[in-house]
Amino acid sequence: MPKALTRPPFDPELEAVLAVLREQFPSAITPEMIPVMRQPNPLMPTIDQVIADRAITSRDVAIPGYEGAEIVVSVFARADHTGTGPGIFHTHGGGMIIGDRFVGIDVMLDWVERFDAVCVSVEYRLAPEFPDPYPVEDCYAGLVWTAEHAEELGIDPDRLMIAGGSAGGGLAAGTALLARDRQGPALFGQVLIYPMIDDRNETVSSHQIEGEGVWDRTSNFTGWNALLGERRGTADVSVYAAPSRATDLGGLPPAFIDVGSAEVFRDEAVAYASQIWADGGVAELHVWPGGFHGFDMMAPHTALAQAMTAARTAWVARLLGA
Amino acid sequence: MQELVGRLTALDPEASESLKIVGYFDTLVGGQVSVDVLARSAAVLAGCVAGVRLSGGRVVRAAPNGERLDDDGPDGWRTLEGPTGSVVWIERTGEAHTNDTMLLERFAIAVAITVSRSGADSGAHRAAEVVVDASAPADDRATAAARLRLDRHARVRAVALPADVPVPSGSPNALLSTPFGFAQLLLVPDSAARGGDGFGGGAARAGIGLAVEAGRLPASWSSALVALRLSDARRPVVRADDLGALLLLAETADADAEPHPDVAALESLGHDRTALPTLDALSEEGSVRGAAAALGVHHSTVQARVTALTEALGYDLRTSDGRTRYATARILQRLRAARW
Repeated sequence: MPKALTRPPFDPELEAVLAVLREQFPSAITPEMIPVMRQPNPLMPTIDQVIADRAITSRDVAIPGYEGAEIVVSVFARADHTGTGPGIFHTHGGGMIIGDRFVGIDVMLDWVERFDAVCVSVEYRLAPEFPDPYPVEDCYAGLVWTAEHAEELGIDPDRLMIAGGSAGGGLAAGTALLARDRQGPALFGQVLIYPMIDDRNETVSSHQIEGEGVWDRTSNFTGWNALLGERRGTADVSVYAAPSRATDLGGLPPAFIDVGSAEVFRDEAVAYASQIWADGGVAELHVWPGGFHGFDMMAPHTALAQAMTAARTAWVARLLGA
Repeated sequence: MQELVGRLTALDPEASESLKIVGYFDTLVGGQVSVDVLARSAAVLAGCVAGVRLSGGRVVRAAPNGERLDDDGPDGWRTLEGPTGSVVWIERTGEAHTNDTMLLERFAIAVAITVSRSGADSGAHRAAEVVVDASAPADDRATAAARLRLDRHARVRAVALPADVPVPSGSPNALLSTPFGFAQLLLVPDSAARGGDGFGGGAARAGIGLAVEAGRLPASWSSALVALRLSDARRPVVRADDLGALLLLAETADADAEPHPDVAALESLGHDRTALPTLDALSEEGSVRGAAAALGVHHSTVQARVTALTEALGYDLRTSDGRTRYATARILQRLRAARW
C-alpha cells in the first residue's frame, strides 16, 4: 500500500475552518501529548454553562463499573419530564484516551429536549491506564445499571438506545454486542457517530489521512495501542474491543452510522454497515462528502454539518415513531 | 473530543490573525463556494451577523451560527465596497475588533471573485482565467481565446493590477488568486498598450506583460505578475519588456521554494530598518559619499553601516561586482516579499 494516498477533497467550507484551527488542533496525536490533552480547556464551557439555557436538569450518580469499581454517570432530563420516555445511554468520545462524560453531549441534549428522552452518560475509565476491557466493560456496567433503574430514571426499558461518537461510537457498538451476547439489557437502537471500531488500522482510508484533518493515522495508532498494547492488530483482540472484528452482526438493534469521506474511519464504518446488511440486519449509513473527523463539532454552522446532524435526528425520530 | 476537534468560534478581538483570515477566505474562494457560504463563513469568524449586497441588489445576511437571516440592508453598519460593486458589512455592536478591517477586505475580495465567476460575464471571466493558465491544456486555452475573440496571430498583452484598482471596462478581465494577493487580469491588444501609461492612472500599481500571440498568454501573465511585484510607489507601472533578462532570473527563482543564500541574507536584515535603504543607496550611487548625500545622513554614519553590512553580507558593494551581486539579490528579495 503506498504510504500516502490521495484522499477525497475536503469540503471547501470545512477546509476553510480547518485552515484557521489547524495549529491549535494537531492532526497527529502521539502518546506524549495525552497528558496535555487531558488538561481542562478554560475556553470550553462547563456542563453547567451548557445546560444553563436549556430547560434540562442534570445530576451525577456513582454506580458500580467493571469489577465493581465506582464510576460516575450523569443523568440529563427535561425539567418537566414525567413518567417514562425514551432513554439514551451515551458513551463519550476521545480516542479511548481522553475526554469525559460531557464530551459530545450537545447532540444528546438536543434529543433530550426534542424527544423528552432521558440521557445517561457514562464516564468510563480511560486507556492507557485502564486498557481493554475496562472501557467497554465500564460502559456495559453503566448500561446494565441504567436498565435496572429505568423506571426511577424515567426511562421506558423498551425504548433504550445507545449512542456515542468516535471512540464512543466504537464503545457503543462494542457494548451493543455485549448486550446481545449476554442476553441483555435490551437495546432499541444504536447510534454510531463516526465510530472508531477497527484496531488494525489497515483500511485504505486509514492510510489516506496523515498529517492533516482530524485524528489521522498516527493518532489512530496512539489510541489503539493505548487500549490494546501489544495485542493491537493481532488475533488476540475481542469483538467487543474492536467491533470491526465481528463476523456475525445478526441480532443487533437497528443501527445508524455516519462518517466523513475524508477521515480514517470511513472504510470501517462502511464495512460495518455492509456486514449488518449481509447478516440481514437494519442499518442506515451516511458518508458525508468532504467531511473530516468530527467536522460537525468543529464547524456546526456549515451546510454539511447541519445535514449530518439533521440526518441523525431524523433517524432517531423515525425510530421513536415521533 | 473537543480537545481533539475544537470548534470554530469568533477570532480573538485583540489578537491580529491576518494569516488565518487570508487562508480562510482563500480556501473558500479556491473551493468555489457560493456567496451564501461566504456570508455565513464571514459571520462565524467575525462572531456577529455578516452581510453582502450584490451589485444587482440581492442581499445575503447570515448569523454566526450559520443561519440565514432576512434581507436587511447595511444601513448604520460598517461596510466595505468591493471591486465589482458589491458591498459587504458586519453588524458589530460596540468596539471594532482588531481583525475587522482585514476580515472585511478579504470578504469583499472573495465576493468579487465569486461574483465575477458567476455573473453575466462569467463565460468571459472563466475564459480569461483559462487563457493565462499554464496548467490548462493548449486546446482549452485555444477555445478560451476564441471565446474572447482574441486573434490567434495578433499580439496581446496580459496586464496585472491589484484587486482594488478600478479597471477600464470593455477589456476581458478576471480576478485571480496569486501567491502575492488577488490580482486583476486585463487582456489588452499590443497596439493599445504601447503607450504604457493609462493603467491605474497616477499612483495605482500595474504590471504590463510581454506582447505574445494568444497561445503564449500564460508567459505574458507570469511576466505581468513579475512586473507588478516589482512595482512600488516610486515606480507604480512596470513593463516586463523593460526588465530584460531579469525575467529569466525571476522565473528560475520562483521555481524554487527556498531562497538563494544571498536573498536569505537580505531577508534576515529585515529587522534593521536602515540596512536595505543604505545598501540601495550605495548600490545606486556607487560610493559611500554619494550614498550619504542621497540618504541625507552623515558620511561617517553610512561608513559605519556599510562596514557592518559588508561583514554581514560577505561581499562589498563598493566594487562593481559587489553592486551587481547586490542588485540581483535585491530584486529577488523584492519579488519574494511583494504583496498587494
